[in-house]
Amino acid sequence: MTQWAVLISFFVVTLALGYLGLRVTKNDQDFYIAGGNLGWAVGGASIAATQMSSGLFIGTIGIMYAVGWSFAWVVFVFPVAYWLMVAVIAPRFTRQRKVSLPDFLETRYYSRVARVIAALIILIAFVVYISAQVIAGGLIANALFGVSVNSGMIGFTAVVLAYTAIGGMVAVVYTDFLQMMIMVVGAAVAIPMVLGQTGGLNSMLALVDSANPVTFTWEGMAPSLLLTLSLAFFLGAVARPEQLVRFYAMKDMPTIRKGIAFVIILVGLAHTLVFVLALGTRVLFPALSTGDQAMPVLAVHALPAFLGTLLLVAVASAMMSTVSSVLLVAGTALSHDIYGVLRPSMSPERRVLIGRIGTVIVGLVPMIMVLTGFGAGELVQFIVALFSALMGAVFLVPVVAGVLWRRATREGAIVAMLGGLVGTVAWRLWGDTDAIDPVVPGFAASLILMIAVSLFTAPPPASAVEPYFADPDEDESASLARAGSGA
Amino acid sequence: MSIFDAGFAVWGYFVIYIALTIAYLIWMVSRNRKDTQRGATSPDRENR
Repeated sequence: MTQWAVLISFFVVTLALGYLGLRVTKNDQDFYIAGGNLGWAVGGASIAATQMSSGLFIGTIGIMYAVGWSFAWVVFVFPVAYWLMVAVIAPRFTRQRKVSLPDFLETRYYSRVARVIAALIILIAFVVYISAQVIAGGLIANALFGVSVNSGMIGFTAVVLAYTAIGGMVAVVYTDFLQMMIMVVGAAVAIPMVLGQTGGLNSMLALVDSANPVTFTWEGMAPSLLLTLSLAFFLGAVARPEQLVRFYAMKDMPTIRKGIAFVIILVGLAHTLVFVLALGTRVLFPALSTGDQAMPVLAVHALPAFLGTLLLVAVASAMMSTVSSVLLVAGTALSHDIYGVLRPSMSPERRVLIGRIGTVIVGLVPMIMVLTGFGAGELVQFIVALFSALMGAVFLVPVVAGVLWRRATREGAIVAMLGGLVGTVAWRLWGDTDAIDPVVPGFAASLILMIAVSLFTAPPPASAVEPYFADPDEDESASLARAGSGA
Repeated sequence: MSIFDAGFAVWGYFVIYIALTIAYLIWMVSRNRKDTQRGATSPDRENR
C-alpha cells in the first residue's frame, strides 16, 4: 500500500508538471528549448539528471559492488567534461540560438545534408538507448511491485511519454529538477539506515575491507583499465546532443556557468551517495549473483517500506529524467530536423503538433522493439556505454572543430560523422573491445577525416563562419542574448 | 577503519573532487564578473 501511494503521488506530480508545460508552450521554441529562458538551478539540475540515468543506480552501483572504490575515480570525467563544455564549446556554440545540435551543424557547416545525417544518427542511437532505459524501468517495477517486467516497461514508458509529448522542454526540465532532488534525497535518507545496520561508517568500511580486500586498493580496477574507461566516458560526455541543447534553453553564458557549477556539485553528491550504498550492500548482501541486483535488493530487503520505495522512486527518477530528455531530442530530430526540412513552411501551432507526434513515435518504437525481443540478454550498462561511444565518436569532432577551427568544412563534418559511426560500430563488431573501447577508434577516425577532408576541400564561406568567429574581443555572454532567431 | 585508513583511493577521491569543484567556482565567478563588466557597455545585452 505504501509503495503504491508513494509511486502514484510521484506520477501525479510529474504529470501535473507536464500539464504546466502544456499551458506555457505556445510555439516550437517553447516546445524544444523552453523559450530559451531557463535559470541556472532548473537548467543545471536538468543537465545533471539527464547525465545520471538508471545506469547509476543499477549498472554503476553494480560495478562498485563488484570491483570496489577505485571505480569511483571515473566520476572525475564529468566535472572535467562539463568544464570543457562551458569554457570551450558553449561560448561560440550559443552565439546563434538554435533548437537542436543538427540545427547548429546545418548553420555552421552550411549544409542541410549534415543536419539530416546528424538527425538520423541521433534517431537510431537514441532508440537503442531508450530501449535500454525501458528495460531498466521494467526491472524496477518488477522489483518494487512484483508486476511483470513487460507491464512495468509499458507503465513507465506511458508516463514519461505523456508528460514529454504534452509539455515539451518545460515539462522535461521541471520534472528533471524534481527527479534530481528525489535522487539525492532518496539516496541520502537510505544511508543512515544502511550505516545503522552495518554498525556505522568505520565499521562498514572495516567489514567491506575484510570481505573483499581489494575494495579500497587500485587492484579492483587497474589504473590502465580505469584510464581507458575514463577516456571512453569523457569522449562520450562532451558533445551529447541532449546536453548541448540545454545550453540553448538557458538564458545566457553566466547562467550556463552557474548551471554547470550546480551540475558538478549534484553529480559528485549523487555518485558518492550511491557508492556508499554500494559498500553497504556489499556488507549486508555479500553473495548477490550480479551487482545489478544491489539497489533493488537493498531497497526491498534492508529498508523500511517508505524509504525503500523512495529509493526505488529515485531509481525510477534517474531513468525517467534521462528518457524524457533523449525522447525530446530524438523527437526534435524526427520532427524539426527531418520532417521540418521536408516541410519548412508550417505554422507555429503545427510545428508544436509535429514535435509532439515525433516524440510519441520515438517513444513507442523502442518499447515495441523491447517487447518483441530486441535487446534481450544485453546488459543495460553495455547499451549505455555503446550509446556514449557513438555520441563521442560522431559528434565531438564536428562540434569542437565547428567552434574552434575556422577551416572545418561541410565535407569534413559529414565525413567525420560517418567515419566516427563506422569506426565505432566496426570496432564493436570486430575489434578487441576489452582492450580499447569502441569510442577511441571511432573518435580517431572522425578526427583524422575531419582534418584531412577539410584541408582538401574549399574553405567554408564567411557567411557560415563569421557568426561564430567574428570579433574575438566581443562579449561572450552576449552570445545567447543576441540571437533569438534562427530556430 | 576510517576513510583515511582506507587509503588514497578513498580520501583522495573526496579531496580532489572538492578541490576541482572549488577551482571551477573560482573560474566561474571570475568569468561572470568579467562578463558583467563588459556587459555594461554591450548594447546586445539590452535585447533580453
